[in-house]
Amino acid sequence: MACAGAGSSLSTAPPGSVEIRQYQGQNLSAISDIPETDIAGPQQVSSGTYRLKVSGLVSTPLELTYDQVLGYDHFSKVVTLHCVEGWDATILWEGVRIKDILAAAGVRDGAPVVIFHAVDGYTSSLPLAYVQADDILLAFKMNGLTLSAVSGFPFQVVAESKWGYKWVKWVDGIELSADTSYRGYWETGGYNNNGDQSGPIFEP
Amino acid sequence: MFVWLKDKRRIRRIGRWFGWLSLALVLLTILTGYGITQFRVVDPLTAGLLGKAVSQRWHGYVGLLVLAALALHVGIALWWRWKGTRD
Repeated sequence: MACAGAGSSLSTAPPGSVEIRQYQGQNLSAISDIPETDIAGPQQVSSGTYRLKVSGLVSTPLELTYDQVLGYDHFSKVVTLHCVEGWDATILWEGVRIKDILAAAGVRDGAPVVIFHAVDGYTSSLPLAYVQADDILLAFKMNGLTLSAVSGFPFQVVAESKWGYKWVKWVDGIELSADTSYRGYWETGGYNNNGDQSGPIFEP
Repeated sequence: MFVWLKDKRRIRRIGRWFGWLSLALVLLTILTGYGITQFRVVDPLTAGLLGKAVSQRWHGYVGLLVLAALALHVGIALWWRWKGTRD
């Protein structure tokens, strides 16, 4: 994802198999309205062979199957994705809290950075404190539907209040790091490593 | 410099240069625009010179330069026409 979000509080998600376009009185964007802006196009990932690796500065490195990730508690919230290109999309996201996965792995001291790795080689990072304090989700559903290949199946980071390039799709790795100077794919190209929607788009 | 500009034909020529400059800047605006949304094409096409972030930075500046160059081009052309009716 080459593209911050204002989110609502966490709540339990409604079940369903049709796209939800309105949630608790709030209009939602259509999934099909979201442009495809990925570095290598949609990625095909099989849930059967998928593994989410949690590595780096953790006490217990994890390698979780798709079903094991889904085994964590589910949460949902409406968050607006803002892309640096100018478009935005308000979506009901359902996922697991990244902090719950990290708690299972046991974050060691001196790891302020969480680096997300994607199947297509894309990476981006977020501060650990932000991920924990803001209950950042690793989404597996949007608007009530399981993510498609275009949407980032099996998992996409819902980095609310951050520009879209922080919303990593096709996540297959979460790495805890001490490297505060780490720059992800678009951050290396000049976009602000902070990624705050309220701040400048580019590095000073 | 001002002596050089006393030749009115030179001023008209400069006006034409601003016209060509406007055209070049319009093309650059289009290219940088595509560099933002179609980065998978434009980045390799420009040998990495116009990556997404660079395109987005330039896109804003180039747009302003287009307006400035176009204003000078039109302004000088209007001045030439106005002058022609008086001389």
